Amino acid sequence: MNPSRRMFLRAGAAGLLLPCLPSLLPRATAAAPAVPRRLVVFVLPNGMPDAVWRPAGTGAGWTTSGVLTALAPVRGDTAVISGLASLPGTGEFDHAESLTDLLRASRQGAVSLDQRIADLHAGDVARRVLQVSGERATPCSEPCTWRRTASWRSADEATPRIVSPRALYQTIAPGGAATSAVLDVARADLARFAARAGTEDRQRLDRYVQGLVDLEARGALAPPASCVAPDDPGVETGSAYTGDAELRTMLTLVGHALACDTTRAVTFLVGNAGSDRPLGFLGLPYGHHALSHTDDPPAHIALGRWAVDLWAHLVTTLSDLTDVDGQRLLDHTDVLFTSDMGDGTRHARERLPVLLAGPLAAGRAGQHVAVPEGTPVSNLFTTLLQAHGVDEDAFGDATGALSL
Amino acid sequence: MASLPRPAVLLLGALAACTGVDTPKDDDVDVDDTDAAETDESDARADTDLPLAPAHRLSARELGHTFSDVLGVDVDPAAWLPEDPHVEGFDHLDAQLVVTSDWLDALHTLAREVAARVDAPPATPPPTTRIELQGEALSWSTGIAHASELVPFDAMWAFDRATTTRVELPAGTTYDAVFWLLGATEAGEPRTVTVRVDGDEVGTVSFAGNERARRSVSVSGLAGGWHDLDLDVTPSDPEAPPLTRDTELAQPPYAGVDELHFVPVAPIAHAAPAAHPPVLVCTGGIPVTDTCADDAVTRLARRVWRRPIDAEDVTPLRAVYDDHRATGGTPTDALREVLVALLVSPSFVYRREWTRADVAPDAYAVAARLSFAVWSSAPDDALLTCAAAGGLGAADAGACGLGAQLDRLLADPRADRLIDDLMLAWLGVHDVDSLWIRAQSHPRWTPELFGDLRAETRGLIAHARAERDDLRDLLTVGTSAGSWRVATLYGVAPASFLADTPLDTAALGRPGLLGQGSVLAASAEGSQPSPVDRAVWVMRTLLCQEPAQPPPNIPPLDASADPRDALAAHVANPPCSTCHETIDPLGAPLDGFDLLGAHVDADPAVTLPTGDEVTSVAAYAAWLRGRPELTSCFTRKVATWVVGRELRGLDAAALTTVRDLSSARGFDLDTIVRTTVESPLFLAPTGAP
Repeated sequence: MNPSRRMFLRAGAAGLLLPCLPSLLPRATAAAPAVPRRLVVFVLPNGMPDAVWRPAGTGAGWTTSGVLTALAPVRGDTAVISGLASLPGTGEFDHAESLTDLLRASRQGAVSLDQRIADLHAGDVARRVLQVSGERATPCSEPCTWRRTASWRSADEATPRIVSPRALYQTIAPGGAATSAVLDVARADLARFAARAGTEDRQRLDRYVQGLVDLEARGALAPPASCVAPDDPGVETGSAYTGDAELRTMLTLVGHALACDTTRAVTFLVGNAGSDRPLGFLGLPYGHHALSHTDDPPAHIALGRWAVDLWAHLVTTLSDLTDVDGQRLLDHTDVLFTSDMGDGTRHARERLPVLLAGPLAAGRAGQHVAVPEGTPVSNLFTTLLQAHGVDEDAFGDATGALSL
Repeated sequence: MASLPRPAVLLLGALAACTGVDTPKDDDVDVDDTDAAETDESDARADTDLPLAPAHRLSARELGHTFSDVLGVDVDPAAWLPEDPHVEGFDHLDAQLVVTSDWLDALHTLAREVAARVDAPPATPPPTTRIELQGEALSWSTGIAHASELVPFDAMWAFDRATTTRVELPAGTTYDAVFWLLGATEAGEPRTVTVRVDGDEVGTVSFAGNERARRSVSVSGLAGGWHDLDLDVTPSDPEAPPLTRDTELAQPPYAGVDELHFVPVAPIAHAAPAAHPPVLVCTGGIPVTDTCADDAVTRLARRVWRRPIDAEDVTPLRAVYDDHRATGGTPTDALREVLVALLVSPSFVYRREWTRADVAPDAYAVAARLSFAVWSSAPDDALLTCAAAGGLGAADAGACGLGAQLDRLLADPRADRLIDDLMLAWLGVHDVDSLWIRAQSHPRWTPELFGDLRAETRGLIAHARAERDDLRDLLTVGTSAGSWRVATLYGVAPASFLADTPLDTAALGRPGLLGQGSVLAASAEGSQPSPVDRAVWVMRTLLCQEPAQPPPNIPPLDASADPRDALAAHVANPPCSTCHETIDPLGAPLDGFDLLGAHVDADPAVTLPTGDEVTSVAAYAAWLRGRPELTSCFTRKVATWVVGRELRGLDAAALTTVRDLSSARGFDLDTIVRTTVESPLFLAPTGAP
């Protein structure tokens, strides 16, 4: 038995009832823009004290001897925005709650900023949102799951995380789609499996069938001409923490994922909220969480410079990759740096460290923009959504859009 | 039906109004009976397509064990797949495990990774090294090319005077390293710390009085092997009594080194682990060629799909092989592509169960049930061979009989997963991250301490399994193999701790599981321990009882008051007191332990719901040990694990039989597993005989 895919899609294997398949329906009639606009949110959980972060002066002439000296390689592409604050916390489960609130700007179970952007591109890309993290975790239940994810597809459904360079590579590498021969095997096995299925089995298998249909649909998406195959990062080590080199590899792969149109929305977490990641390679004897509760400015500067250097690596990657129109990928990608906290010592959610690069920042690139203290960071999210074409007046707890 | 013993009647009667389940009318094991009302209708449909035990998706944990055992690929699927939900602490109960598009997509990606790594040289494991403190071996591992060991807060007593640490660096290279020392001189006196490696001074750091600061000493060119790391603290007072937990917490006038970090900064090399037998080969281990490709495909499919393979299966699989060969792929790589197809197909993704009453389970389904129940993994060749021979019958007394194969599986080291995956998950002590979020504010919390606490619990259970001890005795056993960190937490003076001698936990007033820090932390639920949370943990985990939801319009706790005072006021409120007076005594005997299990002052006298009074943890543990509900609950937990689904009303009679037979046979872990496997729960679709 070797049923054709067309027959399978029309009627389902072994008489299974297929649900309506949105991915196969004609897409919206509105013409898609020639060059899609993307979003990358780079999150450094656990905060960064404003005292070592905020530069002196505003506009293009800002100066610093603190963290932002590391911004030099991409200063001309980056706006520094200070004074923003995220949704006030409840005081319970500070680190977990702060990260899970960050991109939702709401405690009402809203979807996160990146998922709102992904709504614009549903069906056009293989993955709505890539959530990439530099830190693994053992299975756990709420609220501990909150400290690992900033991206939420719904009130209680976190966006799956990719936590190793190898997994990210396998996810985005061209040629990684399921072949028709592989799908034929699954369908033939499904037909035999379903022949002995009871009612409940068939309900479960319907979801499997939908998964196969989506696998096939993803395989049918041809990568654009701008897609350049990334280098294979090699086999993972199974480490709980992704080291500096692997984090940079993952950031490079994020660039390739955008260039290959695997996704148009990425959330990148340096690690978990409350992370105990060893930072010996920075000469620091403790993890970021322990540091965040320590008054040790040189250590904060060392960690902050490392994070900003990672940001610079991302921005440089996006600057070096060419988009389908021959321009820099960065020119069509809004890139946001933020944290779930400012000063972690007291779990403060104001004075967030924020950087912005890409088209929305173009008019302020190279400048330090000081907004009124305590302005909701969701105002900036609202501006981003509007820039991407979302009809949104105030995202989450926003009081409006932020004028840049 | 036999009647319940009187204490059980009293307890169940007292709890009935405050739990979400009804009091059993007889001594059946209590299970969710929501399907009982449907029995008549279900029976009426039984000869058509009654959903008896539907296809069961493998969990990430089961996938990981299967990849390792069957294909020789060590990969953590939890890092690649959306998280599996947990029910009753378990991740493999069937109703929760569905295939979503995201999941199947991630599985396809993972399948490509697994296929790429089959028969490949094993990956270099994470760097490891060893360290000894005060003569006891410590260990740690980290995946990056740096390693550090934090000598934790609870060892600070060691560093107000000279101390020696030994560290072993793997041979094969030389190392640069940094010592980080956190000096604490709150006493106002300056201290100087001299660091020596193998007797040679490598640096000195000084801390002024009333300082708390980090200083570092670098050392380079350390060869592989053991090194003595000596720290001399001057001036020191060797006559001063060692610091204890009580004096630490009292903020003593202390001067010394609070933490020591030793950070090797050179990469650490390791020998590769033993190789798995080749997978992508034809019969006899012959490298795959086009000539024997059908044979290779069939062999591989049989192992991965856990069922016999016929020509109808081989045709599309061979097409995958041929397609890949046609694009220039090697025969081995073509077989890797076949493996991808196998791994995303239903016969791998799902465990075939008893899907219809009119379709009898075959021996292959029994083989899979058995191996996943004991190993959390797919059947090995021996089990599949028995299935092919029509074996695995309950009445078969031969080598392929169900009993003989179960004995073989239980004797295999893979059965230790019953300790790590079943028992620790049941107790909730495997969940480091969940605990972390609650314990972070505890002054003694370190990852190393919790690792030791978990190891203490694991050791207790492993010992009980090895000795075939009654599982209920885990509550009352009077010793444990706690480390020096654990001993310090429990209040043992450093001078009294002997690494080779078990802790006398009975003498410490903390016998059995209820006295162990891991369990006390897991049962605390919130970031502050409360008798309510611990009572709920006891009810759910040890008695399988679900507290009733609070009535509506309960006023919130007074956030401005001390938490204990606020709780006391809440409990005194008449709408609340009815249930709390019944529930809270089950947690109150543990009030003498803080979040991590360190002793705190509390009145040990508690009147239990049965009217019994207990005045110690030992007495409370003995009381619980004797509860018939506890025996039923332990049976239910193990049986649920073995069967892999939540048990229902239809299972009650069979579960009761398992309980009674297990009790008669000794009630050790392996016996409960064995009795469950021999029962209708395992052998018949619904548990009904």
